Amino acid sequence: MTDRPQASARALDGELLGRLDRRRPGLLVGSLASGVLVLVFFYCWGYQIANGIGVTGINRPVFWGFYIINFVFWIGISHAGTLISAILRVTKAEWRRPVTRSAEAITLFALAIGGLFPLIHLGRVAIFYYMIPYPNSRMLWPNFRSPLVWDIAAITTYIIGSALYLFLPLIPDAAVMRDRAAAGLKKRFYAVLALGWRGTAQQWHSLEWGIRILAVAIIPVAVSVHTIVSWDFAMTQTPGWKSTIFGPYFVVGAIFSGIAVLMIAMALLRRGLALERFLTDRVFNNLGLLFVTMSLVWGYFTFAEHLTVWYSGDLFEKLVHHVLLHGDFAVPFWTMVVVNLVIPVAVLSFPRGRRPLPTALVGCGVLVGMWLERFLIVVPALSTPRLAYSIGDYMPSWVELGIMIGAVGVFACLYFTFTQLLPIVSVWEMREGWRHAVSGGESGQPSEAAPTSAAASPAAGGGAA
Amino acid sequence: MTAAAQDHLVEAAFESVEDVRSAVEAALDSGVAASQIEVRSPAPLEEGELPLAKPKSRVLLFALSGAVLGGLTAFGLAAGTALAYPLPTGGMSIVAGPPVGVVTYEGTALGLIIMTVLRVLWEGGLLPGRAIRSGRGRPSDFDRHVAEGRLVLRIHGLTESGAEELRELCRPRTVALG
Amino acid sequence: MTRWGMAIDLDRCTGCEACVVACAAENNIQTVGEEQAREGRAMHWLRIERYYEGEFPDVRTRFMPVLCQQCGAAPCEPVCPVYATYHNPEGLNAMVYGRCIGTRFCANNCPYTVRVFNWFDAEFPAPLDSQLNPDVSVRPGGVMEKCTFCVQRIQAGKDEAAQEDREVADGDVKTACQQSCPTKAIAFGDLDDPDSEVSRWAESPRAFSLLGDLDTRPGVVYLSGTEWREPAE
Repeated sequence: MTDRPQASARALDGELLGRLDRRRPGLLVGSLASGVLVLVFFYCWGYQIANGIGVTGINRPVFWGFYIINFVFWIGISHAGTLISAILRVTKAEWRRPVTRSAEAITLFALAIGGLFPLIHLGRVAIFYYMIPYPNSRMLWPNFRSPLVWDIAAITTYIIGSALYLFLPLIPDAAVMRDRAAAGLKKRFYAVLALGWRGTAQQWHSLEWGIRILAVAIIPVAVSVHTIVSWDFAMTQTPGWKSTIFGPYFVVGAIFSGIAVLMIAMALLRRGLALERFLTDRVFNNLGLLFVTMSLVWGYFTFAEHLTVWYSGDLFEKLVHHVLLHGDFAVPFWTMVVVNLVIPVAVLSFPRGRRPLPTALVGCGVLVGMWLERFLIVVPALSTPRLAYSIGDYMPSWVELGIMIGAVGVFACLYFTFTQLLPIVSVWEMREGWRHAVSGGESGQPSEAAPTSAAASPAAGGGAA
Repeated sequence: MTAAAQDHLVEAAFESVEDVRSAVEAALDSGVAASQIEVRSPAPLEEGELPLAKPKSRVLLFALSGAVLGGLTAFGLAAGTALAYPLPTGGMSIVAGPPVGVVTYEGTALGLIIMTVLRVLWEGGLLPGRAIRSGRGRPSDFDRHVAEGRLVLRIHGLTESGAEELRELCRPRTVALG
Repeated sequence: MTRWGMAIDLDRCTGCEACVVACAAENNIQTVGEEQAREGRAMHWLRIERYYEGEFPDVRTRFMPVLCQQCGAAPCEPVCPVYATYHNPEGLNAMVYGRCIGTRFCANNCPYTVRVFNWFDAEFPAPLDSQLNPDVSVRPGGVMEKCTFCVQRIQAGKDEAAQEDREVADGDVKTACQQSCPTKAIAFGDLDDPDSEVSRWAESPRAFSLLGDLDTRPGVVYLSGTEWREPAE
């Protein structure tokens, strides 16, 4: 309750605003560079629409290929934000404050891309709306027994939910941007986003209720989304797919890859925007612990899945199992085990490994590993059908590769643009955290580190469970 | 601020909640009603930090009714409408239990989320047309102070002399006054 | 009620593939060309699977014509999001090409891998276009297709019977593959009529269902005198 923490909080406040104000040519260059990939994405998709789905490498029996792999991959990444930020909000982990916004933005953009892939995958994308239930003169109605229709229900809910979950806490920050901007187009843009937010007691009170409810509500939605994605596979009779563990396995894998992207994004943001004092080592340490936990859970599920298959002795299941562990797919399989389990555990078990650079590097490996995991779910099972006469092979075409790389560009472009336009660190939530740290126990919040020194940032203070 | 006598407004920006609290206390002592006082803060204030009544919110109630509404809609969509489009299935069920459950689950969540957000926006006067009607929440030059992390105290409906009086009360601890 | 079914006597099959050709001609199936076929995109609604037994030179080849099994509990049907494949009242897994949006989910869930996909729009350059069957639509690109049990012939048989004011008799409807089989290895008809040829064949002690333990209740019955081991490698 002394003046010093008060003054220090003000200094941090000013520093954060300063960071957000500064023009960043790097971000603009990033947006433009990834914009090129956006063009690649749409060129390839347009080429495919014009010429037919046959420009891909998919065939019989591998009817699903890169598009479905990338669909699962991106939907998985989308679990970074909403789920992690919601869990941290619900558990009132103080160190969440600088993380949530960047995580929620990952969710929205990854989800938008993930949601596109099933459409790209369609043989006749022009009539995708046949899957949507609405009264029509063709007397068409979707088949609610199909897991794909569940997908539509779940992903629609999730994309609306996570967009609102990103937007709601963004309103006060949009007001900050509005009030700090000079009159003009920029101010008008933020004014539209801020919806007339003034920071009155009623507004804060309603907003806090809203965020609280949304954080609780979005968790079961996120779990259901990736469970349903797993059911696209597990509901079939295909050996290698029909597995009861797929639901939780996919959810865990999704969170795992989500944290990986979050670690990479945060390391880049910290470096690029000089946010060292906000995205502190402590944040990386805590997220690193969560990361290694997910790695272990993922490893356990992988083991459990393959053990039951191996032990069952089912002829067709064992064939798929064989090509995975010892056959054509052994190299990607064991690579996946190394980058998803061995390396993360080896690096992240030690405090020195839970620093920004190593966690981001581990995150890159995990992204590769989790992509491989989805590849190893989709392709080996399909290329090893029951009737051995139809055993097949799959090699993606340049169109599929172009769309896959282009999708990364779309994501990067959206993320760079978002970072450029809006505070990637939630200003009001940081301020709330500083206030908690300043007022100490008075507010009833656990608080460890008051911002007495610049080195020990209050952002990391508080009860990090 | 030249029209009616009771239409004067005092605005003051403060660095800390303690300063706002003492200003609010002083204002209340001088006979200003709590309903005339509006505090704009850069972050939510804890309950009891200011001697003002806690705002009311019905977000939870609306969230739950949104959940019920969404769930019923989704149930009707998955179960009911299939009967309106009776496709020949050769004895296969058109509607099965588990899929209806899945769709109802998602619909419940969607209804809850949308109603929550709509209610938050409505209560905060953030929906189009609502801000003007509530009178509060008008744009002010002092919003800039909130953006910079300070708190702004606004006291509405004062007479000219009352406003001067309150300005004097606020002056010692304020960083800006108007 | 009619339940269309087929019986295939493997002991009579010589693997000549006349049925495959007849099927393609009857049903306007696209010819994809060498390059596409190499990529695994050959479009046959009916294929002759060959399995070899024994060591060279003492090798025995066994033939297995595999077509859509018209399952009674078809795995392909529930997964289609748009009802493009559904069960018709006469036991057929019907395809409504106009509804198909090309998710290919049905093909993934088919344990027999008998569904084929139009990767590109079909091309029938002249004079091939003049041999197209007018009773069968030409499918556009991006659409799934498979054996229909020559549903157009079933319809024609029913129409003819109706004109002559009688029930459809056994043998009225012949599928293209059945008609072209030189060894008469294929029987087709109503499985619900105990006197039909196909029902009598299905009663044979040699009868079995392909991948029968999946309980897809196929409408196709195979007959084999020697034990048919499920092909593994």
